[in-house]
Amino acid sequence: MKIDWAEWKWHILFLLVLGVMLYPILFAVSTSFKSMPEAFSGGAHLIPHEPTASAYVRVLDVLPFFHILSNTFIVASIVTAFKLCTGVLAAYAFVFLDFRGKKWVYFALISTIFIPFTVIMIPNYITLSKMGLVDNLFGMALPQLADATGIFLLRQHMKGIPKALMEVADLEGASHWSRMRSIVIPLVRPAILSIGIIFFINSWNEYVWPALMIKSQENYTLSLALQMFVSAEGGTDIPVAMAVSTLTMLLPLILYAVCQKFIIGTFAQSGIKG
Amino acid sequence: MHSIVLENVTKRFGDTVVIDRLNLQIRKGERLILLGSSGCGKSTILRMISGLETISDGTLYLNGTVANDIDPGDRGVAMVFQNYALFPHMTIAENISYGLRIRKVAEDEIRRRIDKALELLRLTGLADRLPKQLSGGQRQRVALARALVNQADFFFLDEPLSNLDAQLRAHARKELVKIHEMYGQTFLYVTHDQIEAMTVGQRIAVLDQGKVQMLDTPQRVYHRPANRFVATFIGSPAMNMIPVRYTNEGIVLNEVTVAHSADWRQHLGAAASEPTEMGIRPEHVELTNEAVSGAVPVKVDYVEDYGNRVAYYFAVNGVETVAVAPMHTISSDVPTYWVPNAHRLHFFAQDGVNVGYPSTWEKL
Repeated sequence: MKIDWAEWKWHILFLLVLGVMLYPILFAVSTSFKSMPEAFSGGAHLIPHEPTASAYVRVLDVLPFFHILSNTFIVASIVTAFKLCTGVLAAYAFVFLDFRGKKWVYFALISTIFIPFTVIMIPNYITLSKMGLVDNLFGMALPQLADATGIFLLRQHMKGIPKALMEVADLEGASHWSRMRSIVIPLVRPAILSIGIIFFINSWNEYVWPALMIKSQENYTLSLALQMFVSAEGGTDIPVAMAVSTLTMLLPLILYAVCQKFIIGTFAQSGIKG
Repeated sequence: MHSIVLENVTKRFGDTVVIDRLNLQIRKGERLILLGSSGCGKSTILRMISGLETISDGTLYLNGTVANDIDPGDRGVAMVFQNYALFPHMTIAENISYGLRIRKVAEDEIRRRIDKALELLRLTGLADRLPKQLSGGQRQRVALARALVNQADFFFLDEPLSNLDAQLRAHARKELVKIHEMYGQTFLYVTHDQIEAMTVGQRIAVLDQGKVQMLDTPQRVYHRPANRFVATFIGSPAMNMIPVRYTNEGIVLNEVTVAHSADWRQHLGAAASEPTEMGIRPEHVELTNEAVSGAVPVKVDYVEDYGNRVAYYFAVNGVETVAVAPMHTISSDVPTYWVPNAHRLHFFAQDGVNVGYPSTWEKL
C-alpha cells in the first residue's frame, strides 16, 4: 500500500493507538520467555534479559495441556461447522426462496442479534441443566449451533450474486441443492471462509459461557485453564500463565494472518451493502 | 404453425400494468424481433414466455399447450442474457455444459457438443479459461454457446449485443443469423437497436407502452409503417412529419399547393379519415436548385456533413425537416426547392394511424 505522508498526523495517531493495543500482548509474550524471578522483579521491559523457554516446559507439568487444547478445538470446530451450515441454508432461503412472512421471520431473527448474551445465559443454563447437559462440551456447544450475525452476513453476500446467474439455473431446471452447491457456495466461498474464521476465533476465545457450563477440569477449554492462573488458589507462576496465554493466542493469530485479506474484504463489503 | 401464442397476456407489478392484454403469435422457426425503447415492456414479454416472470392474466401457449404454469426449466427455452450471465467461477467448458450436466446428458455426448459449439463460435482452445480471461466478444459467444448446446426449441436473446462495440456487433449479427439458419429454432430477440432489428429479424414486433404497434417484415415496417409511432421510431434520422392542409387540388406546403398524383387523389378521397400529417423519410426528400413546377421553396438553415452523406435542415409548414443526400447535391446559398416524390409519401390521420397507400402500389 502506498503511504500518503501528507496524512502524517493520522499516521502518528494510528501508531500510538496500535502501540497501546499491542503492548499488553507483546508484554505477555515476552513474560512467557522470562524466568520466574525476572517476571517478579518488576519492570515492564519487553526484551527478557535471559530468555528461557522453561515456562513452556512447565506448562505440561501444571496442565493436561493437549487435552485442554483438543477440547477447545473440538468445541470451536463443531460450533463453526454448524453455524456455517445453518447460516448458509438460512441465508439461501432468505435470498432465493419466496415464502409467506419471510420479512417478519428475517426481522425476528436479526433482532436476536441485539439481545445481550447475559440475558439468555441463565435461561439457557437452566434448560441445559434440565437436559442433564451441564459440564458437557456438547451441551456447551448446543445453544451456539446457529448465529443470526452469520446469517445476516451470508445473506448480504448472497444478495450480491447477479440475478441473471440464478435465472440461468431457473431455465435449466436446476434444483435448489444443485444451485447451492454449484453456484451459490462457490461464489460466496471467501465470505464463508472468513465468517467461519471469525466464528472459530470467537468460540476459541469464549470465556463466560464455558465458565458457567463447565465444572470438571477434564472438560476445560483454554480460556478456563488460563483463569486457573489468576484465581486465588492458582496464580503465582506468571511466566506459565503467560505461556498459556501465548499459546491460546497463537492459533487465532495464525488463522487471521493467513486469511486477513478475505476477512477484511468480507466485513468491508457487508458494511457498504448493508 | 405458431409455436408461441400470447392471448390477452397481461403483466402487473403491484398496481402498475406493464403489459396490457397483449396478443402475439410467433411462427415456428422464425426470427422475431421485439423492438422498442427501454421500458416498453419488451424484456418483460420475453421473461414471461421463458417463465422467469409470472403471467398476471391471459394465456401463453407453447407448441399448442397452455404454458402459464409450466416451470421455466420445462419450457424448452435457452436464453442469452444481456450481461451474458456466465458463472465467474466455472471454466468456459463448465459454463457451456452447465445445463447438460443438470439434465444428466451422457458425458461423451456433453464433450461432443462442447467441442462442436466451441468450434462453431471460434472458441477452440479457450475451454479451460475462466470468463474473466476472455474479451467481451468471446464472452458473448460463450453465452451463445451455452444456449446452443441445449438444443432447445426456443432460443431467446435479451439485448445480446448491446455490450459489444460497434464493429463486433456488426460481426455478431451475421453470426447470429447464420447460427439460426443452421439450427432453425424459434428465435425471439429483444433489442432497442433498430439496425439489429432490421438486419436480424424476419419479422419485427415494434412495441410501445406494452402494446404491439406493428408486427411485420423489416421491409414493411420501414416502408409501410402502420402508424406515426412506427414511422418515427424506425429510421435515422427519423421520418419527417409535416402537418398538412388540404385543398381540392392537393396539399399546401410552404404556401405552394402541390397537386396530388392520381393514385393518391383516389386513395385519399376514399379514406375514412382525413390525414393531418404527411410523412417522408429524409433520404427521400430530394432538393434541387431548379424552380420546376410543383417545387416547394425551402430555405436551408443548416448543413451537416457526415462524410458519407449530407443532411440539410430546413422548415416546411413551420416544422424542421431534414433531407439526406449521398453528397452535396445543391448549393444552399441560392434558392432551393423540394419536389415531393409522390411515391415516397405517407399520410397519417389525427390519431396517428396510417391512412394507407394507393391500391396500385406494389405490395411489399
